Amino acid sequence: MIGLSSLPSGRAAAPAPSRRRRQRRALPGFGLTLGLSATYLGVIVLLPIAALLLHAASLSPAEFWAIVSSRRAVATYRITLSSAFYATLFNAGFGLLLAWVLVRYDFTGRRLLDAMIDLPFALPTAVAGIALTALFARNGIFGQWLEPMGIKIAYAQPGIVIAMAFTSLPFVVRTIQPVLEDLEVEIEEAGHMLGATDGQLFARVIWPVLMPSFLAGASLAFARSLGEFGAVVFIAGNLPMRTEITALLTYIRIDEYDYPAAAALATVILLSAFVMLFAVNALQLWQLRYMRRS
Amino acid sequence: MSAFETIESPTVPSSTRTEAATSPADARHTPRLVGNASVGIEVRNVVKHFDNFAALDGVSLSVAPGELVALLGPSGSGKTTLLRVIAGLEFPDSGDVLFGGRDALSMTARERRVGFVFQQYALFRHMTVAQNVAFGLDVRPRGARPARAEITERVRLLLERVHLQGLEKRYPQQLSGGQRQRVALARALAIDPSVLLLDEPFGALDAKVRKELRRWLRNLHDELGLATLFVTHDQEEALELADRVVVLNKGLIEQDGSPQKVYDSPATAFVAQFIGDTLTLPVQVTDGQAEVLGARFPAAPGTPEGRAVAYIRPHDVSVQPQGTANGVTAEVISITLSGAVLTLRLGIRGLGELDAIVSRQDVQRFDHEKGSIVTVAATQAYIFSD
Amino acid sequence: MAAIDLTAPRRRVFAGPVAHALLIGLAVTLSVLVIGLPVVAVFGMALSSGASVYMAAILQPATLYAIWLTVLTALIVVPINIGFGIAAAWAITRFTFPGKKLMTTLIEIPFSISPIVAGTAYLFLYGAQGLFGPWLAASGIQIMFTVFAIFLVSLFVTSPFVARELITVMQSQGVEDEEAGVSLGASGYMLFWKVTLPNIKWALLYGAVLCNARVMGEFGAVSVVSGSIRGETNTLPLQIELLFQDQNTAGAFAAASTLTVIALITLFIKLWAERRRDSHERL
Repeated sequence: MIGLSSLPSGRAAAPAPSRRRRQRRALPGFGLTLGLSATYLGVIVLLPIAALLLHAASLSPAEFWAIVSSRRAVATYRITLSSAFYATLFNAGFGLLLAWVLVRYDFTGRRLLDAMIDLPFALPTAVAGIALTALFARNGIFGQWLEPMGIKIAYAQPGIVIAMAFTSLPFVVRTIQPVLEDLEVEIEEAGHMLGATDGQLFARVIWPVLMPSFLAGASLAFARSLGEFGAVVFIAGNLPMRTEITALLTYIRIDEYDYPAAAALATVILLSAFVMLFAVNALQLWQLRYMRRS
Repeated sequence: MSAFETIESPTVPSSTRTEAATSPADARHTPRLVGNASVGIEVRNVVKHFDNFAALDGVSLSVAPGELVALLGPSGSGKTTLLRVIAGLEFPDSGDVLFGGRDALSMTARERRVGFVFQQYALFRHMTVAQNVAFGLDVRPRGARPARAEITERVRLLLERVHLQGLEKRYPQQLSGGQRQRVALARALAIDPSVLLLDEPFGALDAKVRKELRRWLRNLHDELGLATLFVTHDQEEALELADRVVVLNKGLIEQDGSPQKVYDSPATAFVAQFIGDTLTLPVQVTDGQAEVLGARFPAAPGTPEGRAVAYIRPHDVSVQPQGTANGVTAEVISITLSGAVLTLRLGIRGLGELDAIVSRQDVQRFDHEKGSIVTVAATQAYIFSD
Repeated sequence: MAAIDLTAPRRRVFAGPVAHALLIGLAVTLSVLVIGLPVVAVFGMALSSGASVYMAAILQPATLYAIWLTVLTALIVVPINIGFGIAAAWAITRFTFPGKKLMTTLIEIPFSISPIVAGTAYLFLYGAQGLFGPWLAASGIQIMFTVFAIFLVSLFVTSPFVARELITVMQSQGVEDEEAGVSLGASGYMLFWKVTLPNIKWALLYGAVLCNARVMGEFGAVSVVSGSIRGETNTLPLQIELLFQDQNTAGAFAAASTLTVIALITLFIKLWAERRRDSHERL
């Protein structure tokens, strides 16, 4: 047995400098883990981003503006934003439906359906891209019916929308699900006894509770769609001014060794991602406060 | 569990308690569980801030070897913070903590060899009872680690001591609250601690188990002879169990003394109010005294002249037939019977209403129906400045 | 007089049989069309010319090399990001320090950045025109368009996966078990192996599996930095693109089917880890 005698001695009653003590922590490993993870973050994540911004900053404002406001670049913004918007619109409706069905109803295959929803996150985007292209191309399962009707999806903007919708599908479902699970039965029972119809109850009681998480999920899906590349390039056809997204134009500029243009475009995408990140954080904060209040 | 017979416990501990040690059978089976010469704890002027909130605002106390001290206070008083500072789970902004005269602040929690029992026990859920108890021995560096067989034997002895033999293979989730508490204690004792610290040791248990374990813990403490400090918000628990009670409020010690002393002569208005039920009456202090319900009582030293507050315990109010004694006239407003005692709600003109607790015999001799007029007097009152 | 049926479901919104059947039917149909069919299409296209063609497509040297490079990348990147995840989660959930909130946000950044931007950023760090370019050229070190660039950019893209899972679970578990451990004399190493790891192993596994899936499937970032040199810097997703552009549909889908199998295994492990975690918590 180790008695007290084996404890570090010699520093008896004399108080050590209080400054040293204040910094001490009960659990081991603070310096090691913080040092390691902060260094790693700095080297792997922050340093490259800084290098990109530095490169973009070396352009004069006029050069920068000329690149990011060129007709071709502006067309990519329009296509990217509008496609992401439609994809998010689809996912908002479909996500709400899926979350509702998964939480409220019990049926055979419910667990399988629940598991399936994460597939777009697990499936590599390139795989999703070629699979969707195969389905919607002129000789594909859907394409062979749609194209004769004059509906062109692959190698047109609807293809971009579908690729974005597929890859960002789980966001809305997964943010609504927990909120819907927490809704108390009593609220609806009380509503029914007060004479409200299902529609009235949904619109006035359930929807207000769901809305913050719905918006948070939709903005996550939108952010993801803005950044999507792998799935889109296969199905888009990549025609300048028609089906070219901003990420692809950046890639093309790199391929052409036009590094200033690539730096400027990448900076635009990066800054829009930060704006989205800020918006999503604000929405999630709002959602948290909303949930605590109810 | 038959060893823990419940005896109706007096609120004030009897001084003969230590005689209720172990039965002969226990003594024969119990080798010394704690090998260290026990050491005392000394806390000097400890200050600990969390952001701008002073959890401890200059606290000093000591626990002698073999002494059982209760740290009593409401939630947020800093009592758990103090316990964690002593254990090395928090570090103070200033002040000293000494174990047997040695600077404990220069040691990590790991080096301090403190037996710490957490409020929610913090048992490792993925380990059996035996693995939990053996943990402190298993994690020793190879040179200091006892042999496997020795660990097994020691775990067996400890579990026997806390009356959990046969439950070695269970997981914490399969135990009752009282059993978990004893596993936590056995685990803390396994490391041969130099001091024992318990955070609300009975807080998570129901009332009956709580009383049984209290008695058992007292006996165990007396056998181990460790300096033991436990945190509680339950004044009855502190008064019944401890050799000494330290009352903490807002990071400051309000009183440090024997249970008798804390109960009979509260040092501050906070202690008077916190210990036991109390009634408060506004009074006027003149010449260091104040009249409370017909009798004069000394005010606490340093109470200024003028307006003050008197704290009275409901059973320190005597009720007599009208006109037979000094006191004030009151009307009985309602009567509640609770066992051997009656609670009389009394209305006093100019003062309002107050409760008196009296024994049934005391009031048998006279009329105490609802609406009858009686004379009430205080037999004890504590007077502090407003 | 009908007795009150206590087993009847309680009255909720849209619980009627018609709404019930309609909504489930719609959800299942859409899911099968949108999520199920693409997966089926991968295997259908891969096997459309028969099993022997499929095997030949997978066994062609370039595809085999791409599989090997992809596995190698995962073997390097996943352990490093597990280490980072554990260190970051330990620092963030077990201590308070200034800048903790900022660090938690920074960890999430790679999730919100387009992979193309990640690749471009690395180009401007290690490329010939980049920040370290002149220095690297002078030292004769080539990083861009080599497998090292693939490793680095994969580290960037997948760094948040393990960290995020662990931060969530360690935050909710609290610090008491570790405090009990140190007060019983455990060293940092013992504390981690005997107390912390058993509590976080399912979350760790889940995070590692997600990280692995993303490493193996990353396309955008890798395509910027790899140079797509056949037989040298082509990972599986890049090989799929190459074959697809070459009109080698069977080859592309054969390669894609291997990644799809990995995705399905990922989902399976996720389900299994969630169940284990739930039963662990119930105990």
